[in-house]
Amino acid sequence: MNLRLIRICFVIALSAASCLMCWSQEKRKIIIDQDAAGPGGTDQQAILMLIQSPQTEVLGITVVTGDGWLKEELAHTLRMLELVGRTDIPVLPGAEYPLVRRKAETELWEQMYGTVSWLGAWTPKFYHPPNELGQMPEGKPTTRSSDEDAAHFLVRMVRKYPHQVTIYAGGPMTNVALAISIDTEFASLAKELVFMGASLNPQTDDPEFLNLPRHEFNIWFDPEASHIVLTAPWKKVVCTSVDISVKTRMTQQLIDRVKAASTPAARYIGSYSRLFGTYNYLWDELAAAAWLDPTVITKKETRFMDVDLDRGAGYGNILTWTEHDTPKLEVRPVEIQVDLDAEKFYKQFVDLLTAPTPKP
Amino acid sequence: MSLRLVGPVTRRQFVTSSTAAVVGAGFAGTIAAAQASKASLSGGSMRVIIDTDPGVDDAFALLLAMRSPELKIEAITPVAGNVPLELTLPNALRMVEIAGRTDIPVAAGARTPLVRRLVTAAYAHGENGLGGALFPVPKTKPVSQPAAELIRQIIRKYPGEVTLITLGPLTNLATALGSDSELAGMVKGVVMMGGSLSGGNITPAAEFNIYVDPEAARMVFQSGIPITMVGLDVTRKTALTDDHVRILSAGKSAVSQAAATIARNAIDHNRGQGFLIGPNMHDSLALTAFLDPSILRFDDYYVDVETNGELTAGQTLGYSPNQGDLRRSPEMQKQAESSMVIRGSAPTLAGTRISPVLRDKYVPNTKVALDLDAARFFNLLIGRLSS
Repeated sequence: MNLRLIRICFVIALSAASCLMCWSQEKRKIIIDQDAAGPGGTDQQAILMLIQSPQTEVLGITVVTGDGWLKEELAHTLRMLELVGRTDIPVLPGAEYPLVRRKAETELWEQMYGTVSWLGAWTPKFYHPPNELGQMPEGKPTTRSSDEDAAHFLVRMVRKYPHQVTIYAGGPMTNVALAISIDTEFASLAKELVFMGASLNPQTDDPEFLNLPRHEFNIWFDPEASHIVLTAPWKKVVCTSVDISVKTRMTQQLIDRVKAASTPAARYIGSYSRLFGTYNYLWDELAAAAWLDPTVITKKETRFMDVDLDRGAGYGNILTWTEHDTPKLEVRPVEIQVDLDAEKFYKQFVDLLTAPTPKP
Repeated sequence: MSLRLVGPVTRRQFVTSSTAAVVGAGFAGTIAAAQASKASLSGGSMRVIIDTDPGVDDAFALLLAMRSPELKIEAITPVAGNVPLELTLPNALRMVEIAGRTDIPVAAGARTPLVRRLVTAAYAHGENGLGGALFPVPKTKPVSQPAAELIRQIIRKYPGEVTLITLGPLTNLATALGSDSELAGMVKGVVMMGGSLSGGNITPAAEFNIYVDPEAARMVFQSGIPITMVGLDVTRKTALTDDHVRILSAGKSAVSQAAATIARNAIDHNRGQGFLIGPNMHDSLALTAFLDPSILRFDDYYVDVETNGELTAGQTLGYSPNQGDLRRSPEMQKQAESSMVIRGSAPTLAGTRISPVLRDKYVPNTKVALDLDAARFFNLLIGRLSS
């Protein structure tokens, strides 16, 4: 047998062996439930960080109204996936409105109890009706979202892969609550819930939290959904709250470091992410980073959590307890991230967003 | 043939009841006859989905529906309510089998209300949901889709054609509406057994279906779908009597016999508990509002649901310029309507420049049934069940 043939056979055998090795390392299954406003910005950056990681298998992106309206968020997400070459990831349309809360009654509530600085899609400064897509400087998508709705997709996936799927919630929890309502075993069949939300006692001069330390947009926008989700029987719940978010900063330097690369993800973030006003925290990005690499978090604690559903001044506030003062009614423990290794986090942020997008 | 049980029936006894002990020869022949007429019964033109928590009066309403040839029953979607879903689901399947209509898909619905802990009504429906009446374990299985998904699929398949007949807490419908923002615009209407403008049953303020899931009810009333509300205002006048049982017992069909059995057991259970009124046929009256609206009298209201009250959660509030202590003479109607304000509770903070209790302009969203012709109702109900 000639030497060249032996060499070819050897190379083939080696490639087969290394393929087997990466197949045997099970990817971490995750569904990204997100109020995917865009282009760029905290919501899309977090989605991208999760997609860019070679350890993840993103089963789907379930979209919900929150920072933006459902329809425009679907469009931004589809277009982002086109630009990074991952149109294989299904995008599922979810809830266009919170379960019970309505815009008109919220405006009335503000007149009685004080204005809310961040109302997401309902913020008066840039309000437009739900069917309009707003500005799309990145271009309109040509791909379509799924015919299946988000809640049923969530239910179907945890039943298909019991105890394997992480539910990552970066926005209001309407879709997750609907999944729980459809299937009471949803939470116990999921692997865990990881969410950005809640606010306990953030140390910041950001006026958004000055008088309302217990008010955080994701939880507040759909209080009933938050209650349904926080009281469901998850095996594990991890919370990235405002208290740790205010210890992060998005800077022009960070954007420039990402811009320096020429990969599709880097070009997308470089073109469309920008700073807004004074307080540019990395909200959802930290939740994503900490799930990918738990060593980013240097301190955590356990609290029991629920949501105030009384329709007065506290409607939508987070309620917390430690072991010695929990109520008699069942509340569930949540692992809250308290402190982080900021440099490690920023490095991970840049590394993930400048990497070539992994193939499906 | 009437079925009596000696002593209290436990849930376990009911769920594991054997076919041989209960069915008997009497049913077999009549089931065959029912199946032969299935073809004519399924040819109706009014598309409905029946959301239900059987439940004595739910069971009656299901049987009535399946004996109403003008209906095209696209699905039956049980929900937790009168009794838990582990009982409402097989009870619905039992009714479908008795009527020989196993062609109708039955989809399992919500096990619990959206936000609240489930409160059931075994005090009214017995531990097994049918007043203690025993029927065989159903052989039919529910379809694989959850109720919310089936509701969504059917409405999207026939936009503008499907009426939702809701006979229990509104959890399934609210879940379907929440998951698909375009669904509400495609629903032809909701005909609901629920609510009351004249006091509740389970609490002084609330009727049971709305009490169990007030948040879901609010979502439905705020959805924009035209609603017909058949509440305690009329249903408290629909008590079954021994005469009705006699007529049903004399009927030859499986449906008539089953209805007689449930009725007999329900009346005895009701008496055993010492209740002075009922058992009322709430759900059959709601269905009748769809089958023959001329049997009832309706008025337009803007209806909303109290979700906050310590004592009153689940109360339905009906606002109308034509009703109540502030109603006006006919010449003043138009002005009354245009100047009507929807008030909530007075605010506690003083000094607001605008009136914060003003919720909205008056736009009616519901036709509320206020009166009925009981004789005509029972003619329809007992007539169709015993024919």
